[in-house]
Formats: sequence, C-alpha cells, structure tokens
Amino acid sequence: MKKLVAMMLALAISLSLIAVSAFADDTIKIVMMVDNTILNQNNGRDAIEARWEELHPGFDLEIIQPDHSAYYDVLQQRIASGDLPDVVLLSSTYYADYAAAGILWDMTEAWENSKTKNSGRFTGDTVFEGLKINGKLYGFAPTRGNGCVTYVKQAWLDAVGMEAPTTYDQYIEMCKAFVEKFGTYAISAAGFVGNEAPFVNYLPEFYQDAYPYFVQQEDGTWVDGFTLDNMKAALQRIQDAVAAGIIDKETLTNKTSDARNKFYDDKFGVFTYWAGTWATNLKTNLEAKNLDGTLVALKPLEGLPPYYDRVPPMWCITAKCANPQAVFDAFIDTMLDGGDTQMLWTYGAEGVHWSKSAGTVLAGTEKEATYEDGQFHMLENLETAGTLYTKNHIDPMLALATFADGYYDPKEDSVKPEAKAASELFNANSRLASIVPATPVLSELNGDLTMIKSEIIADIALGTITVEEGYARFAEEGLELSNEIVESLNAL
Amino acid sequence: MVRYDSTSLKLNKLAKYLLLVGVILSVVVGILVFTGSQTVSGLLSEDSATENYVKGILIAAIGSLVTWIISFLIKSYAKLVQDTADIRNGVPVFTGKTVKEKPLLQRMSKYWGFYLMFIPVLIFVLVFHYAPMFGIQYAFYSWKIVGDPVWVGFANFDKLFSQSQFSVSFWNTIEFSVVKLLLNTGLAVVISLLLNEMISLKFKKLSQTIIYLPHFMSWVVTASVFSLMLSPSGNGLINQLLIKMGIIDQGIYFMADKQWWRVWYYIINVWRETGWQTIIFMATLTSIDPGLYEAASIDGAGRWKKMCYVTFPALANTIITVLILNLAKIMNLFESVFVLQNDSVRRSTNVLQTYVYYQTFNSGASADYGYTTAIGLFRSLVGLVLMVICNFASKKVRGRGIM
Amino acid sequence: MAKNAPIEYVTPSGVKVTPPAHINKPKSQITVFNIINGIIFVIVCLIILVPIWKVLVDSLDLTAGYGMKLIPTKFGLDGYKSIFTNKSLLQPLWVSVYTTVSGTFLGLLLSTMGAYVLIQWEMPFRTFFANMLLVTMIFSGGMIPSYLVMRAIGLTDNPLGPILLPAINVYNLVLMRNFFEGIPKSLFESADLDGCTPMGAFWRIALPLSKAALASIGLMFAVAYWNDYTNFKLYITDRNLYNFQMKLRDMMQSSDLPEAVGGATENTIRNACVITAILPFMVLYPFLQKYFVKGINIGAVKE
Repeated sequence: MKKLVAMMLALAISLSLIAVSAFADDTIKIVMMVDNTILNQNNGRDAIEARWEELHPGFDLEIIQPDHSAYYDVLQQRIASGDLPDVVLLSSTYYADYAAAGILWDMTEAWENSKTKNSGRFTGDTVFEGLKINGKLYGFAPTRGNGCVTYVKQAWLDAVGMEAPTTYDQYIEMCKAFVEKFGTYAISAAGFVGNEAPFVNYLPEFYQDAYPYFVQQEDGTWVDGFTLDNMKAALQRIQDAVAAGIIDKETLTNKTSDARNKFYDDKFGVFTYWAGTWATNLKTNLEAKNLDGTLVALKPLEGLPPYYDRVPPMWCITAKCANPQAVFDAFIDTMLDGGDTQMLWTYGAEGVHWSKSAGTVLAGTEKEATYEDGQFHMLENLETAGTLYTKNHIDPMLALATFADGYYDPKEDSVKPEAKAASELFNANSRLASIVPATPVLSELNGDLTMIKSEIIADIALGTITVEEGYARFAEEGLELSNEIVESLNAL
Repeated sequence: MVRYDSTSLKLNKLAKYLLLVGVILSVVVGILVFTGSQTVSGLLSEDSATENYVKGILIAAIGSLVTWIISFLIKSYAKLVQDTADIRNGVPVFTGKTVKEKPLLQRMSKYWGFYLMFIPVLIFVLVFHYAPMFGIQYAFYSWKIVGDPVWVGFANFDKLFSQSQFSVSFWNTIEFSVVKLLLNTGLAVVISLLLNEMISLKFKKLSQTIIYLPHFMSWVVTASVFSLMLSPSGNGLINQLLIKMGIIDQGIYFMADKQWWRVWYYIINVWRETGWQTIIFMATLTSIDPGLYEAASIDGAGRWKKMCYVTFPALANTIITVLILNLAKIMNLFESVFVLQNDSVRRSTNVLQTYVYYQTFNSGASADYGYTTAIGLFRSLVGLVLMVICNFASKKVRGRGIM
Repeated sequence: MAKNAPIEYVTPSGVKVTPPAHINKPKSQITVFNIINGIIFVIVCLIILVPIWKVLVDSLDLTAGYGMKLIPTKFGLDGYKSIFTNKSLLQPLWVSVYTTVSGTFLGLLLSTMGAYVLIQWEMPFRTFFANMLLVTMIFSGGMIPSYLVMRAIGLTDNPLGPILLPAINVYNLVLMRNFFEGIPKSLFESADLDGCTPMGAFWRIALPLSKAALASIGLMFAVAYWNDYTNFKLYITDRNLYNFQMKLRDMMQSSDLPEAVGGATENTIRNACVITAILPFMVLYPFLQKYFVKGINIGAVKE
C-alpha cells in the first residue's frame, strides 16, 4: 500500500512538473555560440546572461563558449550533430561559406527596418555595405574590425632631433637617422607580407598603394595586384630598406610576439601595430622596462592611401532558429541600442564588471583609486587580482554606434588617452579591406599561388634575388595560376 | 618436414586463392578504368571530373590491399590452428596420421579467464576507435558540414594527387619522418646505453632528469627559443659562437636557408624528443637480469662484449617495436614543421599536412570535411603499407613480427 | 623472495657458476671510459639546458625581452605570482590531478591486461585481437564521427570523456607486451600448475616483475593526461571542467591584453606559464626514478 501511494505521489509530481514546464514554454530560448570575445564563465558571464534576460523578458539566453583555438571545430561538431545554435559569431570566411550554403537567415530587410540603422547614431553604413554578399546581408557587426597604425617612439625622435614625418621622404630620413644613431634597424614586423587580408598592414609605408592580392578596379574588373607595376616598386623599396639596414631582416622569421619583444627591448623605434588598446599595451610594456612609453601614432603619409580595416566578425542567425525576426529584434537590434543593452555588451554587468556607486578599487596597490557615488568606474577582475576589467564584447573605441543622447557614455572615463588617440586616428584614416569572393578556381589554386608570392616577396626582401628575377620566377610558376583565378573572378 | 594440419592447409589454400583472385580482379578493374571504360568509371562516380588513371591505380591498389589484408587474417588464423595442433600433439605430428583437431570451443575454454580479461580492452577499442570509423566513408563525399554530404567517388583523392606540390610534400613527409625516427631512436639507444654504464648514481639520475625536460616544452615555445638562438644577429647564440671560433665571419640566417633549415629541423627534433625516448629503453635495460652481466663477466667478457651479447639483444626487440609502431604514425607530421617554417623556405619544406593546411587557409572558404578525411585515409594507407612491409621484414629476419 | 640466496647462472659458454657474493655489488672502478662518458653527459646536459635556461631566466626577469641572458636583469617572481594568484586556478588544477591520477591508473590497467592476454601465444584469436588493436593505430574515424560517438554515450562536457578516451593506447599496450614477453614462461607455467587463475598470475607474477615497465608506461600515460589539451578543447565547453593545461593556455593568450599584465611584462608571464607546465613532473620524476635505475633480479624471484 505504501508503495502504491509513493508511486502515485511520484506520478503526480512529475505530471505537475510537466504541466508547469509546458505552461512556462512561451519564453523564446536563444542558444548562442561565441568565441573568447565575451567575458567568460570565470569572469562573471552568468551575471551578463542574467542581466540580458532581465532586460529582455520572455527570452532565455544560453551561451556556448568553446575554447578559442577550437571554436570552429566545435561549431562544426555541433552542426554535424544537428545542434546548430540559433545565433553564432562568424569570421568572414565562415560567414561567406555558410551564407552560400543557405544556413544563415537573410537579414537584409530586417536590418533596413531596424531601430539601430535608423537611430541616427549608427556610423557603420560603409562597413555594412562591405559585409553584403550579392546585395544581401546575413550578419551583423557591432564594431569595425580594427587595423594597424604606425607608432614611432618619441624618445627616438627626440634623440635625433626630428619631428614626426608626414611624407615618405621624411619617413625614410627619420629611419636612416635612427639606424645611424642607434646602430640597429629602425623597423621590424612579423613577416614581410601578412598571411591573411589585409596582407600589407604591417609595412604600409613601403607597400603604399600596392596590394599583393586580387583587387577590383574601378571599372569592376578584377586584377591580381601582385602583377601590377606598383607592386614591383614596393618590393624594390622593401629590398632597399632591408639592404640599408632600415628594416630588420629577421622580419621573415619573427612571430608577432618576437616583434613586440624587440620593440619593448628598444631594438627598434618604428612599429606598425594594432590601434586601440594595443597602444596602451605597448606603452605599459615599455614603461615596465623603464623606457619612455610615449608613442606618436602617424597619420598615413602624404599621398599614401589610408590604413586597412579588417573585416569584423559578424553575428548571424541560423536556419535552425524558429523565430528569426524575434531573435533579431531582441538580440541583434538591441546590441547597439544606445542604452542598457549596449552598455551590457560594451562594459559588462553593473556591480560585477563596472559600478557607479562609491568605492575603492585595487585597494592597497599603487593603482588604488577611490570613486564617489555616481562616478563610473570599472571593477577589479574576478580572476586576476590587481587588474581591472576594460570591456566586454564591444570595444568602445570600435563600436559602430554611439550611445543615445542623454545616456551616459563612459568612454571618456574608461578608455586610456593613448588608446583613444590611436583609435580615433585610425578610424578617421582607414578603409575596409575588400572581401574577395571565393570561386572554385580560387579555392583550388590560391594556396599554391600565395606560397609562390610569399616566397618571392621574402627572397626579394632579403636580397637573394632581384625584383626582375623574382618576377621571372613568378612568370614561370605563378602567372598561369594568377590568370586563371582572375579569369574566374571576372566571370562572376 | 612439417606435417600440416588439414584445416590449416585448407585455410592456407583459401587465403592464397583469395589473394590471387582479389589482386587480379582489382588490377583488371583498375586497367579498365585506367583506359577509360565509361561503364566502370560511370558506376563509381557519376559527375566528378576524376581523371581515370588516378582512379584506376587507386582501385587496383585498394582492392589488392583489402584482399591482402583478408588473406593475411585467414593465414594468421590458419597458423594458429596449425600451432595449436602442433603443440597439443607434441612431436608426433611428424610421424602420425592426420591429427584430429580439438574443437575450437574446447580450446577456447582453456583460456576463458584471459578472454574475460580482454573484454574491457575490447570495449574501449570498439567504442572509442571502431565506432567512429564509419566516418571513413566521408573520404568519398564532399561535405562542408553544413548541408548533406555529396557522393563524389574518388574526386577527393584525385584533387589531392593533382595538387602541384603533392609529390614534393609527400616525399618531404617521408624523408623528414624517417630521418627523424632513425636519428631519434638511434641516439636514444646510444644515450641509454651510455647512461647505463654510468657509475655515479647521482649524476645518472640528474642527467636523466635533464634530458627528458625538453619534451615538456610545446612546439611553439621550442620554435621561438630556437629561432632566437639561430638568429643571424648579435642575439643568435650559435652564430656568435661560430664567429668567435673563427669558423664564419658573418652570421648565417639558418632558418631562411633551404639546406640549413633541414639540418636544424633534425637537430631541434633530436633535442626535443631523444631524451623522452630513452625512458622506454632505460626501462628495458633495467629489466635485464643482472645475473646475465655477472655471468658474462665471469666468462671474461669486457664492457664491449657485454654490450654486444647481453645488452643489445635485450634492447633489439624494443627498438624494432618502437620503430615499427612509429611507422604507423609517419604521415602525421605537422606541428614540428609548421612552427619552424617561414615564407622563404615554405614551398621546399612543406609536408603533406602543412601543405594541405595552407591550401585550405588560402582557399577563401572553410575546409571540405570530405577532402580532409580523404587525406587522412591516404595517410593511413601509406602508414599501413610501411608498417606491414617492415613487420614482414622483421618476421623474415627475426622470425617474428611486433605482435 | 629470497634475495640473498645464492644464484646459479649459466654462462654463454655453458658453464654453471655461482658468483661470489661481492660481485653483486656495483663496481666503482673509474676508468677512462667512465671519464669520457661523464664528460659526454656534461656536454649533452648543457646543450639541452641552454634553451630551457633561457625560458627559466625570462620567467624570473621582470624585464624579459628578446635576447638571451645568463641571469635575470631585474629579478622578480611576479610572473609566477600572476599565475598562482589567479582565483580560478584551483578548479583546473584539481581537474588535472584527478584526470591524471584516474586516467593513468585506468590506462595502466587496460594496457597491462591487454598486454598480458596478448602474450598467451596459443590462445585462439590472439592474432586476431593483436591485429584488431594495431588497426586502430593506423585508421581513425576523424573529428566529427568521434564527437558524434562521444555525444551519443554522454561523454561530451563530461570529465569522464578526457579520462576514458585516452585510456586505451595501443602504442603503450604493445610496449607493455614487449616487457611481459621478457618474463620467463616457466614462471607462469608453475603458477598454472599451482592452480593460480590467469588473473592471479597477472597480479602476482606479471605486475610485480614489471615495475620498471609500469613506471615508464605509467609516466607516459601521466604526461599524456597532464598535458592533454586536444580532448578538452574538443569535448568540453564548460569552463568549470577545464584542466590546468587549458587554463595555462588561456592565461598565455590573455597575457597579450593590456590589463592582465600586472607587475610583469607579457613575456615574463608567458615564460612563467611554460615553466609551470613543466614543474609537476620535475617534482614527480625523482620518485619514479628508482624504478628505472634498479634492475630486478628475475633469477631471485624464480627461487
């Protein structure tokens, strides 16, 4: 008898549970997948999730955040097992691929009618034009992609008694003066040519208008930038600079961390590196070695094109999503709402990552600071004592929309002046690296072609072959591949 | 003078005929495809523009291989039947009449305890290794993960073989891994033997601890430290040393030189892996019965003779096992090459995996999972062939394989 | 085990002898060979240490930079401090410890049991089993099918996944079998006659006689588990289940970012991470070492 009662009771409980969950089911669940660009579980991600759900009643957010090095592997595993997330952050390659495969929701129309686009605060129309594939938009980027600007050490300029250069001739004069004064090279980088778009971003002064990849000319036809005369001139400039000791010849084997370490070690004075927070990082690392951390960010030299902006990662809604319009409205269209949600994606959750109430941060350290009530400040990192949070998913300096009028924008208080200066300079002097459509011919041949090009560039730079010899090699081994790809692009 | 068990004989015959028929059939089909017979190639792949000769060779190769494996399995079973018969019946096999075989179940029942012990191993292998093997079929599909797999027959292999740098990177893979394997194993044996001879126990322990440390450094870190040491500038320890010794008067940019790169690739590999490999040899050495050495000493054997007659034979089995087992993984070379490459030497130092990586990286699209699987299958087949050949050689020379 | 009992040996020339007692002691004669041998190892160790020294110095140098230094210019432990004061370090450390300990145990168990079965030369299907294991060394299903299987049996986002998956290692199993092969068959035969079950002979004869092998194969398992990174990144997305190795990589990655720098430069932290990854085995190895240096006198066990 007892057993029967127990069973009945169990049945009743489970039935009522089912009923409750059935009734509660009118919330929309959003499964999203994101890389390490949002604060992780150890850093208060749950608070971000809770705050987002509080701001968007009726939605249940589930965040999947795999390890950064396995992000696309895990994404593919999920897709293969039928576990496609509703919303996913994608790089340009996967974006183009998945859009072509038809698993991304076409948000062109939703975007045209969105609050964000029509808010008057949105500044990224040109960026979004670049994200469209055949006139259709499948993803949303809350920020621009960022790029590199050229930094010159103020101390080195002072040592040779020069001003920051504005023309190429002045730039070379400065580099020569550095070489003479310090007995070392003036410039170093990670690779004479980058391995992905925008390729030339580490040595923009030498490449100038040359671009070693496929470019669309004004009349709409495609051409391989490597075959143009301006590339030959650029390679000659690089060869001369390496021969004159201006560019570090180990640029060939440098990893980015090698280049940075050499810069911190005062082995060279001119470094083209990422704008924004990296300006601060370079400065603090120089100061840690008792060097002058003052860096001058150069505007593009006179007559030279602006810096390149990378294609930013994009938030996409997948075909799996049952209610894409609702998810778009709640999740994507609010990301840059100029208010609380934008605040959440930019700086994190109040009380966990930032605060406006009175308090002291980093008490007992040299960086201790006390704030009055109402004063915005970032809070101490939950994981790493002694450091403060800087941002969540959206970099305030790269955001494509400002905060709404009257809503307090903490940018002025939270962003370091040197980072802000470098960012503003970059944003004012940059253009988006164009997306080259992947044709089957390009997919098949470009690997070989790129390796040939990189080898020729490296050999010319090191002076083992002349520019003519390099192009003779290209004519023999690469030109045919190049022509086939150009042909396929022009046939589109 | 060996008297054969009848079952074993039948099985052996079966294996022989099967192999003959299988190989002939595969080769005939291969030739048909090779010469472009539309019906056969049409059956295999409908719409891929696969070149017929590649398909022909592949069909012949895979067909032969598969039949060879089956016949090999039958033969090994036949041998087992023969052996058990021999053992049970002792010597009389030579003279007696046809020996009646004890039923299989009865023989197996003697080993029930061992079968029981093998069950956990079997479960693990089946679940973690055999269950996912259904994935090998994707080698014959084109599959971008999104969307359904599309049957493409041998198109993936065709694509791989038609890559302009395929043969360079294929032979590089073989060269790098074989040289690396021989160097590492050879030096590990030498170091183990020398360690074994060391009289100061403290120094022996210290040396052992030190030589196995590099294994714990990731390839990325190893590459960055060595690229610093090999730097042509004033930071490069090795160039500085050579200049001071008067061998060269200007720093050599080792990593940018196609010949030097290989030399240093091997040196760095030896640095990182040799010490770790000694662990297994040291363990083998310590399991040698000390009595054997003592007996040899009494026999008047010197250090050298003891090494030749006691130590080395004991190590030989392990050395051969390690070499052959590593052959199976020979085509997996990737990270060690990848982290040390640069633009200047890349095309001449690519191995299969790095080449495919760059192909995909610059393709402007995400990787085709089918293509990746096909490459994996190709690598496996090469590993299998190498392993089987060496195992066969080992059997001929030593009278036994590794298993 | 009568360790001190006089032992008989048959020399290669067929003479039976009982060695005098003093011969069992190691000889401590210093010869030219020993001196040269010593010098060789001093050189080998120095060569091996140079690159590691560079990493060690940089991890202790607050101004760690690009070049090589013999000693730190500005000594400081801030690199290590920033690792060990990390508040979410304990959980990954614990995950690493228990996956390593339980994985090594399980791995050793499977390898020794498998190896023990594979030395039963007359057992029906022995060759079949052996070949079946070898095949898995060569062919693999690939990343996606492996995930699908792992998911189907509930081992994704489950700490059991990274414990169970690497526990079966055919390479180690074959090496183990190699060691078992060296044990005289007569020992097993006499155990069998004494009515010992296969499992009993396994515990009482095979395992105790293979301490060096167990130590070396165990070490290989332990290192593989401790350094495991692939299985965690592919099958675990829950950060609470990350192991130490994942956490270290995470830290190296985030040392790139300005605010994580703290007192040390990014380079100091990176190098401190590399040394921290080596540390556990530098501590553990000396304990294992006694099994590598001392041979086991099988003759003594036989008595």
